[in-house]
Order: sequence, then structure tokens, then C-alpha cells
Amino acid sequence: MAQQTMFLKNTETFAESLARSGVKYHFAYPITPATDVMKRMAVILPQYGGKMMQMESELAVSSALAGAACTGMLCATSSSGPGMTLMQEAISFMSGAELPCLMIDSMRVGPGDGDILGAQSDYYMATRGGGHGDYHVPVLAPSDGQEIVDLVPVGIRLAYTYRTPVLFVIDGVTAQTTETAVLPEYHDYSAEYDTSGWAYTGTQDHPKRALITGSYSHEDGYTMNERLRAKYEIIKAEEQLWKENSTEDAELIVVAFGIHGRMCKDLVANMRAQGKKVGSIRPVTLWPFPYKAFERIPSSVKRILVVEMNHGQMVDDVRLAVNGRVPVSFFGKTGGDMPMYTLAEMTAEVNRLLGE
Amino acid sequence: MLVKCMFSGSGGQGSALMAKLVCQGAMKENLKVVMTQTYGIEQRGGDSTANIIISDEPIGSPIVENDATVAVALSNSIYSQCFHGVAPGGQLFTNSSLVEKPGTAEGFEQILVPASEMAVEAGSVRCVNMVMLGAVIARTGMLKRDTITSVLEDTMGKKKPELLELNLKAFNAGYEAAKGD
Repeated sequence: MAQQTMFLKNTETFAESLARSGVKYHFAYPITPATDVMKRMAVILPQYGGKMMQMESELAVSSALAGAACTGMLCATSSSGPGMTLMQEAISFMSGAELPCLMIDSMRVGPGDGDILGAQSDYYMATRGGGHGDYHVPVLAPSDGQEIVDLVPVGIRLAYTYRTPVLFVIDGVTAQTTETAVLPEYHDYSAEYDTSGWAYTGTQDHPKRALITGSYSHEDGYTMNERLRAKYEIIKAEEQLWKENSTEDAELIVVAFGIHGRMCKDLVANMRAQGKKVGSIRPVTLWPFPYKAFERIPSSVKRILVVEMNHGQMVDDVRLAVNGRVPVSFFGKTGGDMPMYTLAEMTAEVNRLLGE
Repeated sequence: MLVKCMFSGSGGQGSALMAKLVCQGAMKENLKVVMTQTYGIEQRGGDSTANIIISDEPIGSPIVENDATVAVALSNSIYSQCFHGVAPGGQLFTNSSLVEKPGTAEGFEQILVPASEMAVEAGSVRCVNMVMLGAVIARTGMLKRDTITSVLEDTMGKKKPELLELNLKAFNAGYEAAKGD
């Protein structure tokens, strides 16, 4: 497929980007607001020599994902909060067994089955490891259709360079938004990596071998965890991504990811037009959290405001990042017909804080 | 350039299709577009609104929040919401065939279009959205007339040429009526 500008739901943009970047197998179970990813994958993957398979549950999805990942093939899944909860056991296993794959969490209101409306309430589950053990999964948070396209190859690079599952999180509002994006020509990024040292390719002409396991005992368990720790330290040092806007002389910085981060473009422009020194930081990787962005904030900053579509999750990381140097306020909501604060409401909150 | 549109009507009147055609037109003109939709029980006649933002640079907030520069009310039940959703200096296109008591616009312009009646004259009341689209393009100039014509040809021309003729007739009727005054 040649490069083309398309007008797609962002869930569909995910599907197009995955297929054009080399994903061969997609396993999923329908759930709002993520179903459009698997629907489009079912249609387009065969054109790229791949296949979408609908499993009987998210438990089966995650096991199929782990099985396919063992072969070194690039595979993916898409779901929402309740489905991601069911997959945590396999994600913990894949992290321990060091299996690369891509996952999309199109976030909706929780806890429980919650509501099908968009939310950002899976931040803790995504960044803290919803499963057991000392593991982390790199988490990428695109804020619009074009950034989805741009970040999919980054996710594949992280997955194969570090042999780890990689998670994309996107709020359901952005996921269901339709917008223009330039989709690239087909390129299989996973083919750039040598998987022969670990991937299962069938016994063929070599003896039986067991290279992958998520089960360790005694000294092996220590060694595996130390190896994972060393890997996570490299990721933390090398892979922090964020975007910032007008921070150099800011008195107040708004920190938000996904849709609220995107809305900050208008917020900052409106504030600056009124002569108010407001800037913004938008984390693009949620794990590793972009601590570096906060190490360099100028001394002019008097306050940080974190805006989220939840009751305060990323705000914890921001507080850790500034470590008491700057007061951090939180502004967020979840659920309801309008499951997020509007630009007008964000503006009012910023003005209130500036007036204090 | 930044245009924020709110196209509203009852389910079946085609406000969503109207929005999609504008989006395709904007793409033809190499602009960036974002579309979000709100749904009532529109298939049973509930209200349906399609919000779109068109810009020549990357779009920030994708949400139209009572700051539409171009609003369209195809039905009576959605009119009040549209009336209060127009930004200062914006334009409200009101289907005067169905909206019983149009309000007095203050701080924005209201264009009354008897769109349902004009659609019937053009051949079918179902073309009400095309009449309105013609009026919107004529008065706002947000896209070129030829762009929409060519989008209609792309989407309807091959499969159903008779539909194309009907829709073009309705679109042109709306365009001519609105550009005149």
C-alpha cells in the first residue's frame, strides 16, 4: 500500500498503522470503544499476508498473543479496561519470558464493567503493572491520529529492542474521533530484528530446545529479575518521550496526556494571547515517565496543574518528578455524558490558580 | 484558518452525511479535519449532531464546545441547542420550514433557509441536508463549490447517477438561494 491521507476513526488508524508496520497476527475480543480496531484488522490484514482472529475471551486472546510472540512474529491485540484486566496474567508472563508484542487499551470508565464512554482511568494498571511481579511495560500515549501513525514504529522498536510487550493507551473519546492522518507505505519494522536466538521456529532439523519460560527458581529467579532490572534501567534512561509548549518562562505549567494534552495547544495559545505565562508538558511515554522534562523546568514556575480523565493517577508521577519543588494541583473527572473537562473548564481552573 | 462546525438535525435528516461530505471536501483541499459525533436515539427520530473542525494546521482541542463558527439546525427539536452553540461572530443556518419560532440572533448572524420546502421542490424532502449544505458553502466560503460537487460525484456518481442528479440539484438550489441575499 502506498502512502495516503485517510479520514478514519482513530481506532481504524491504529489498525492501518499496525498492518502497514508489519503486524501479522491480531487477536482480540470485541469491546467498546476498541472493537473497530479488530474489525478493520479482519478486513485489511489478509492483504498483508496476515490474519485477525477473534478469540472466545480476553484470557484466550492474551494466551494466543503469548503463543504467537514465542515465534518472533509481530502480533498485536486491542481491548479496553475490562479486557485488559483479564489479560494481566499473560502480560506478567510475557514480561518475564521477554516476549515482544503490541497491545492497545482504548480506555473507558471503570471500575468494573463501568461505562463505555472514554476515560484515562487505566493509567495505574498500565504503568504500575496490573499483574504480579517486578516488571514494567513501555506505555505510549498518542494524542491524535497522526501521532498514532508516528508512534507505532516506535512501539515496535521498543518491543524488539528490549524484548517486551508494549502498550498503547488512548482515551475512548480520542479513539472514537474521526480525523485525517497520513498513513505510510508498508514497511515491516519487525523484520529488522534478529529473533533467531530465542524464537521458536519448530523442531525442523535441530534438537528440541526450551528457550522461553516464565518460571524460575532460586538463583535463576534472582538472575532473571536482575536482568529485567538492568533492562528497565536502560529504558528509563533512554526512552522518555514528551512534548512541551511555552515552558521556558512559564509561571504555571499544565501537565496532561492524550486528549487533555492535545487541548493544551489551544489552552496555552489562548492564555499567551492574554499575556498569561502558561505552558504545558504532554507525556508521550507514560512508562518510562518523562522525569527529565521536570528536571529542567525553569525557576519561574510557581505551580503545576495536572488534568486527567480520572480522579488523579498520573498526578502521582508528576509529584514524584518535582519532588516537592513546586506545588502540584489536580483537576479531573470521569464518567457522565461529558466524561472529561472541557477547554472552557480547564481555562477557568487555570485562571483560578493564577489568581491565587 | 479554523472553522468549527456543528451540524444538527433529527435522525435520518442527514446531518452526519453532510458533515462527512464537508470532511471529504476539506481533504481534497489538503486541510486537516476532525469529526466527533453525538447520538441520541437517532434512528427513531432522536437528535443527531456531527461536530467538525477544519484547519490548515494541526488541530488542538477536537471538541466543539458551544463555540461553533458555523451551526446548522435542520429540525425544530435541536434548534435551541444550536442557537446557544454559536460562537460570537458565527453563523447559524436555520431550516425555517421546520423551526417554528426562530430566535433573534444577537452577536451572530442567522440565515433562514426554507430547506425542507426547497428539497421537496428539488425532488425529495430527503435532500434537505444537500440544500442546507449548498447554503452553508455559499455563505461561509469555507470550501469551494466545485470541491463539494466533485465529492458528490465521487461518492454517488458511479453507483447511482440518478441520485447524483437529485442531490446536485438540491445542493445548487441551496447555494443559489443563500448567495443571493
